[in-house]
Parts: sequence; C-alpha cells; structure tokens
Amino acid sequence: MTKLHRLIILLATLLPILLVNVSADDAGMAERKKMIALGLQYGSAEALYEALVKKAGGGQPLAWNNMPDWEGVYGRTKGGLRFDPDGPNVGELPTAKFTPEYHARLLQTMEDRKNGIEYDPLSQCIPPGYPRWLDLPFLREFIVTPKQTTMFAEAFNSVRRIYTDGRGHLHEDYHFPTENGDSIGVWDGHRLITHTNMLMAHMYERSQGFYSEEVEGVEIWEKVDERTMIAHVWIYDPPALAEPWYTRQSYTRLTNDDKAIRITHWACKGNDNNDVIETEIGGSSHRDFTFDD
Amino acid sequence: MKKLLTISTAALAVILMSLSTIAHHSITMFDRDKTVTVTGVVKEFQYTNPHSWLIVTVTDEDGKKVNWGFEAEGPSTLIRAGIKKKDFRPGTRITITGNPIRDGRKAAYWVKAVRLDDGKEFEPRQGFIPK
Repeated sequence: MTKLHRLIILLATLLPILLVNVSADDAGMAERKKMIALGLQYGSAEALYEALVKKAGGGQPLAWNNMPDWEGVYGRTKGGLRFDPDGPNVGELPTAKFTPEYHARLLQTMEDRKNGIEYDPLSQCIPPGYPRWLDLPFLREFIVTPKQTTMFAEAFNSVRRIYTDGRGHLHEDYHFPTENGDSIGVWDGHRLITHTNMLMAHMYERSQGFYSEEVEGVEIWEKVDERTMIAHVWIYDPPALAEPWYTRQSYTRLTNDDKAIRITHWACKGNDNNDVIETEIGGSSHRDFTFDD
Repeated sequence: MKKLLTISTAALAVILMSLSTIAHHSITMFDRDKTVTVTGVVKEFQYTNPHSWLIVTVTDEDGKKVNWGFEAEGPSTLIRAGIKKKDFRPGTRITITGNPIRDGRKAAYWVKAVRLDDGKEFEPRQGFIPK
C-alpha cells in the first residue's frame, strides 16, 4: 500500500468524525444564539419564567409512576472555574455583559489575580450560594420527588430546594438575602423549569465577576442522555448585568461501579492545614502548617 | 535518603493549565509557573475535606530530615482520580512534584506523585475529569 493510499484511507476515516463534530458545534452555537435571544425578549427573570410556564401549559404534576431518572452522583462536565463552560478561559473576560460598575470590579480582580492577589470567601467555608452553585467543580446529586426537587452540591453542603407543588415564591414581606434563594418550578414532561430569587450578593467565581442582591435565575433542567444532565440558565441582575447572562451548564453522571464515590460532609475545621486567611493586601495565605519543623 | 530537589519552569505547567480546577480557596499562594520535586517517605496522608495533605519526610544534603506538605483535593476527587488512602501508607517511598508555595515554606500543590516501589503515578486533578 502506498503512502497516498494510506492517506486516503486515513482521510476517509476521519472525515465523517470531523463532519459530525462540526455539525454538533454548529447546532450548539445555533441553540446558544436562540437561548440568548430568548432571554433578551424578557425584562426580568420573573417574566421569562412566566412565559416558559405558559408555553408549558402551566406545567404538569409529576407522578410517582412517571419519574425522571436523575439518580446517581454527578460531576461538572466541563468548564473548570468558568461560570460559562463555553466561555473563554479564566484570565480572559467571561461572556457576561456587565454594567460599567461591575465590569470595573471584574477587571480589578483579573488584574489582581495576575499579580498573585486573590482571596475567596469560600476559604473559610462560607457557602458559595446561587448562581455560583452551578459552577462548583465537585459532586452533585439531584433528588426528585413529585412535589420537590432537591439539588445537593458536595462543596459546602449546599442544598437547593425547588418546590414543584404549585406554591409561589415566599411573599416579599418575608424576603431576606439567602445563599441559595427561594426556588419554585414546574415540570414540563421530564423538563424542570425553575425560578430562583431572594439571593445574596457574591461572585460567580474567582475572576468571573460579581452579582448583586437583586440577582435572579431561570433554569430549564433536562437529562439529555443516560449520563448527561443539562441546565439552560438565564441570570438577570439589573445592577450588575447589562443584559441577561445565558449559559448552558452540564453535569455528567459518574461511573461509580464500586459505589466509592459518595457525597460527604464538608467542614473547614477538619484539618488545620486547610486554614486559609485573607492577607492585608487581599491575597490568600495558609496559616501555620502542622507539619512544619 | 538522598534529597532530590529541583525547581523549574516545568513542562507540567501545561498539564496544570488544562486541569486548573481548584475550588475552596484561591491557589495564587502557589507559584503555578514553577514546580518542586522531592523524594522521600510518606509521614502521613491527611485524607480530609475540603483538601487533603500528603506529608513527606525528606532527608536533605546535610542528612537532616525535613517535612514537606503537598496539598490536594478532598477524598471524593481523589477517589475519582483513583487515589486511595492506603496508596500512601506511612513509610511509602515516593517522588512527588508540586507547585511551590510562594512564601518559601516547604509546601506545594500536588501535581504528580510516583510510588517508587511500583512506579505507579498519582495525579489528583485527574479526579475532575468525568469518567
């Protein structure tokens, strides 16, 4: 067989794979544009949520004999410490369109990071809160019951409860800032549409920008294949975002044949070597190590 | 035991760039453009949340024993990377590479460890790759 023959066979083998990947990328881009446009149609998370619920005919109650199979332990499919898994690497500007004030804050953190100055309140096991909950790189569980879906993140023992029993949000008279907010949702078949408000100001991730106390989120959760859970997410936050930030979050059900991968409690005080404090200039430093001579 | 200590602008940085996921705290206190490699024996494997620490006793050129600490992710991520607590029983001989802490203490962020008895390699950050 000549080199030319070998080259032709190689190209014939690779071409279909390349074409499938290009096609998938195109489909992904088209979906992303569509979802961004959808978010832009509505002036608030509440308005988008109401429109999605209306489109779903108000949603349908979930029955015990027709439950989605969301069991298992999941890890984030991709994205590292980027809030938008399809966005640029950490160190580059994320895909959000921030207001000038929040853009300036982001730029400052990016500059500080370049100079080795960075501190994350999570260092002291302060909960990440929502929307940051979505980009945590550790384990997750999705526990579905007809009237409530509970989403559990291993990191910082962070629990989200999405009420699907027809109740509305907590009345404004009872609002106060909380880490994971107040979430309600409806089922559209096996797709879960949610709205979350009553949140606390925090950061999307280190060098990924900040959100205000007015932040709200709308999500559509769906298991798209045996191992992949996705969430279309729109974040609205008028003080911080010039327009809604759409991202497509993805989580992979982990192979766990020996059942060794389990979610365990996180606490910062289990090991003194994990005590990380903020320095005077806003950086991070470990306190004294126990193993130092 | 002879101490092996090298600091370099490492090729391993390439791996780190692609597997740069570390939560809980910033890792700017570690110099990710450098690596430190030591050979020694495991003193203790602190298999804890949210981070684990592998403590290694190294004998320096003067024959003095010094401890190095290598920080890694917590047990669930280590399990996903195939790293068990028993892999590093006290007395296990290893060569380990990490990103050194900037303040000069004998600590680093664990990149890769090689168990000398069988040559098996252990990379904690592999635990972030869904399998």
